[in-house]
Order: sequence, then C-alpha cells, then structure tokens
Amino acid sequence: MARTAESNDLPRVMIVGFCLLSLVPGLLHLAGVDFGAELETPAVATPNGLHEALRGSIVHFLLEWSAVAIAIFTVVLALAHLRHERDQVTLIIALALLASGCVDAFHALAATYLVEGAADSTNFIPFTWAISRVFHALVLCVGVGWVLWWGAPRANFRHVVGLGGAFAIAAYAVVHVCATTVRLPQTMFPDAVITRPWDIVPLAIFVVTGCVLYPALHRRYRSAFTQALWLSVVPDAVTEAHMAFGSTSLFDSHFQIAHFVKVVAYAVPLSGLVLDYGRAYRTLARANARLESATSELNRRAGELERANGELQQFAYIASHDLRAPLRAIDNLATWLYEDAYDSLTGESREHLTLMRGRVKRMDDLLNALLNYSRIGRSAVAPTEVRVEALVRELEDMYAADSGLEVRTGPGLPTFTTDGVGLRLVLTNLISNAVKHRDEASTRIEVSCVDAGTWYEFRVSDDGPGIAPRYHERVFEMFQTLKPRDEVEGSGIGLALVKKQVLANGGSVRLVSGEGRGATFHFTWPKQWPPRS
Amino acid sequence: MPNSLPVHILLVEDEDVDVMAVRRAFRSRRIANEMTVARDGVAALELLRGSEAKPPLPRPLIILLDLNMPRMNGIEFLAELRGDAELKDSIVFILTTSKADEDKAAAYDKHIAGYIVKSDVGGGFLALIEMLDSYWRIVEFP
Repeated sequence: MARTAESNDLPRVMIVGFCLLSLVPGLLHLAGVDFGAELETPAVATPNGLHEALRGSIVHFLLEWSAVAIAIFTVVLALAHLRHERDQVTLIIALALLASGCVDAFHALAATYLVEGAADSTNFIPFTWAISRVFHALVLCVGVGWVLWWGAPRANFRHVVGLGGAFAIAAYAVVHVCATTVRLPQTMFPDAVITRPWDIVPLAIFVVTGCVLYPALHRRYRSAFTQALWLSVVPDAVTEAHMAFGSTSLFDSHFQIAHFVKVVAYAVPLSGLVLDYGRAYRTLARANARLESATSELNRRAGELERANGELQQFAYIASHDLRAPLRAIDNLATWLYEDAYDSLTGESREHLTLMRGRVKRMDDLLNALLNYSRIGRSAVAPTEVRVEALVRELEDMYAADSGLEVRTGPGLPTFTTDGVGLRLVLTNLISNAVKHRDEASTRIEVSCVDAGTWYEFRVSDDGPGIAPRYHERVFEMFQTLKPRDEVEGSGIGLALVKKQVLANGGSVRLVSGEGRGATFHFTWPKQWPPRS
Repeated sequence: MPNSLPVHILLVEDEDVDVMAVRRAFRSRRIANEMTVARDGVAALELLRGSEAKPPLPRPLIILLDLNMPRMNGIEFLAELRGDAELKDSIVFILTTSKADEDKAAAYDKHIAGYIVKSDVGGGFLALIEMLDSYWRIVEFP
C-alpha cells in the first residue's frame, strides 16, 4: 500500500458526509417524509399510467444498478492502482465487492421480473435480496480475513487470481441455487416486529467486521481505501437495520432508503480508493518534478564545469606558451655572454653561466611538459594504424641505444588502429623513465602485451632498482621525482602524462614493484578507436 | 647572382632579444645586407609604403614576419599586404614561436614563401640565415 509522507486517512469532511448520507434519510422518514413508491395497479393502462405505477420498481432498479456500476468501477480503479503501487489488497477486496455486486445485479433483475426463478416470485424476490446481503457480508469477511491471515505478497498474483476466481464461483453458485430451487424459504414477514429476519445475519456480520476485521486491516495496511472500507460498515449496517426492522412491503419508504444507503455503502470504498489513487499520482508528479529540477541543476553544473575546464586548459596553454618566450631570450643572452666574454670570465663565472643555461633549459622542458599535459584529451585525434613492435624499436633507438640496456619485445604486441600519438607518448615516457632510472645492475627493459577482452594490457618492466610501495601513488603526480634533479634530469611529469593519457581513454594504470629489484608498469589501452565507453 | 641589387631585409618583430639574435646570426655569417626592423604590422606597412619623412623601403625585399605582435598581428599584416597593389607580390617568411596548425594554415593561405618556427631554447637563427643566403643567390625576385 502507498506509504506517503502525508496522512493516508480520509478527510474528516468525507467521514461526516458519508455518515450523514447514511443516517439522514432515516431521520427524514421519522420526520414524516415518505420515500415509498409501492407497486400499485395502474388506474389507466397507458404507458404514463404504467410508469407511474412502476415508479418504485424503476427507482429500485436504478439504485441497484448504481451499486453494481460502482462495484465495477472500483475493480477497474483497483486494477489501475495495482499497476501503479502493486497493491494487491485493494484488488482482492474490490473483487469481493464486484462479486457481491453481481449478486446484487441478479437481485435487481429478479425484482424487475427480467429474470424468473423456479420458485414463486413472492418468495423469490425477497430471497434474492436476503441472499445478496448475506453474500455481501460474507464475501467481504472472507476477503479481508484472507488478506489478514495470508498477507498479500507483492510478487505473487496467485492470491488475487485464486480469490477472484473463488468469489466468482461462489457468486455464480448462489445465483444458480436461487434460480433453480423450487422451494425457497420465506424471508419477508410483514406482520412481525422483525419483518426481514434474514437481514439480521448480515447486520451481525457487519458489526463483527466493523469491530474486528476492518480495523485490523486498516492497522496493517494504512490507506484511505482501508479506512473507507471500515467506514462503509455504517451505511451497510443502516441498510440492514432499515430492512430488518422497517420494511414491510416491496418499495416502501424503508425499502427505498435501504437501497439508497446501500449505494452509499458501495460508494464509500470507491471514494477512499480514488483518494489513494490521486495521492499516489500526486506523489509521482512531485517526484518527477524534483527529478527534473535535479536534472536541470546537474546540467547547469556540468555546463559550468565544462566552461571552467575549458578556461583552465586555455590558461595552461597560454601560460606555458607565453612563459617560454622570455626564457628563450634569457637563454640567448646567456649564450652570447658566454661566447663574447669568454676570455674575460673566470672559470667560476663560466660555470655560473653554464648552470644558468641548464636551469633555463629545465624550465623550458617543464613548460613543454606542462603544455603537453594540458593538451591531453583535448586535441582531436586522428587514428592511425600502429605496429607496436616497430614503435618500441623506434623508441629503443631514440632513448635506449646508448644505455647498454637490452630492450625485449614480449609476445602479443599488436598491430591495430588507434591514437598513435597518445600511445607513443605513454610508451616513450615509460621507456625513457626506465632508462633514466637504471643503475649498474640493470640489464634490460621488456615491453609486452596481453589481450584482455576489449582492452590490451601493456606491460613495461625493467630490472633496475625498484620503487618502494609507499611512493607508488606519488610517482604519478605532477613534478614528482624520486631522485634529486641534478642526478637524473627529468621534469617529473612523465608519469603524470602517462596516467592522464591512459585515464582519458577510460583505461587504468598501475605500478608493481617492491623495494627490491625491478618495476613493472601495467596500463590498459582500448582495442577500438574511438574507445567504447 | 640573379638580383643585381642586394636584397633588403625587413624584420617585423617585437621581441628585442630575437631581433638581436637575428642580427648576430647575420654578423656571424658575415652577411652585410641591410636590415630594417619594425615593431608591429602598422609600423611595417608605413615603412613599406613610405611616408612624408621617408621614402618606401628599396626593392628587392624579403620580409621576415612574426605572428604575435601588438596593434596589428602577422596575419592581419599579411592580409593588408596582399590587398595592396604595390606590395602584394612581396616575399614573406613567417618567423614565429607558434607551432599551431591553425596559424600555419592561415599564413599559407596568404601565400607566404615559408613558415619557420623559432627553434627551442638554444637554437639560434644560423640555419635560417644560411637558407636565406642561398635563397637570394638562386631565386629571381619579382
């Protein structure tokens, strides 16, 4: 059942209104208003006269049929509510009401002589009323009792189907028995105090359900519908009271009042269901509105982020670009000083100038690396066919030729179409890193590849001094070096470039190394270009 | 030599040290051609067209043009140049820091003779000077 934040209960107005609707007609009767329209032989056998005479019957039929229609509508709405809220309890009870409505329809047809039973009509018609009332009380009792006992597990429609079927069969059985039994018991005793004693039974049942079953149902499944069902005891009981103690003949005042109040009894649960349905709908609409506003907020933020990112990229580009111009000038001037004033400079001063040029070069390298870093993931990539084996050999020539290190290409190095520039960047940095950080005991670098579904996992390993685990995170940060810069010239940005490039493709990179010898960098690269997300 | 008169050089560049570098390079190769320097496109046009104070720069003429300058940058200057009836056949070499493809495309779109990126730190302009020296020895100017 819907568990909304707001109250599930019926509005007070509705409760009072329905109670009044149930009681007022009786009070009006006591005050002298006569609702009766007993059958009478028409004075004139004209259509008008006939209709005059049959007024009571027609009104009765209308009232009965209203009740049936309400029952049908209740089931329809319960079905819709089921789709919405997966609420089986409402549907079960609605099906009970529908079955009862069908028996009421049978009674209505009998009362208008549209249907004739095997028995005499004087007994037949009142009997159908009595049996419909008993059936109504019982079927609701059974339905509610079943729900309370077995519950209504959400995923399981067997209860609904089973009970619905049982109700239908029971209704049919009742109708069949009524129609075919020749000798039906008398149910109307015009001269007795209790004119329709058969109506006592449903009255008693309603009292029990009203005091025990309906409250228990409402406690277990809080909703406007269950509360309305509870409230419907009032009109149901009033109906029985009017019939049991008041009505002496067909279509008299008490009779009509009872039938009117019976319609009210059907209308009450429907009203509750309508309220529930409306509330569920409103909750959904509110949730939707919240979702929409959250989405638009998200879009707005994403737009802002995109903008800020773009600005940052531009800033990085401009900064590194414009910062290199004065550097070039400084380098030129230092060089000219060195060249022109060589003879008049002391050895120390010459060294100073040399160091100056070295630092300028370093700064230029850092700015260059920063520029490259800012470009990753930004510039358009033209995919090319890459033979990784050949690429590694090329990089070996460029970076490892004089190092004394052997570069082995492991198995599985693929040839595929991808971002050649990016892959080259990653392999260059990893290989040149391995070369830079070698020691006397280093002998080789190995580049291999493993097929991992939609990715290639590349491995670049060396047997140089390893990298302690506590530095594994830091090596991937910008401008982080493990050795002093005078020992190993490096911007410290190479691995940050590797990480950014690999991550930009949706891949991952990790370092496997201990304090002992050797380090292996693993990174994944998409097989397809552009990479599938 | 195809050109009877020595080729005049117009260097359009706003960075002083780069101007010095070009002069040094010429000196080191013992190239004695006269060089005029303009700080930006506006000054360059004035020199090319001449003003009341000075006659226009003599022909034959090579223009070495930087792209990033104040007031009027290299591309704008080129546009003006190619629109001027007198000046549109000028020989222009771009000499710039920018490696950007967009700049290259925009410059070649204005029919330059060549696009040269100022070398990284430590380059000097010697190769450029040697190239120019060969260029005006071999090529006929308009």
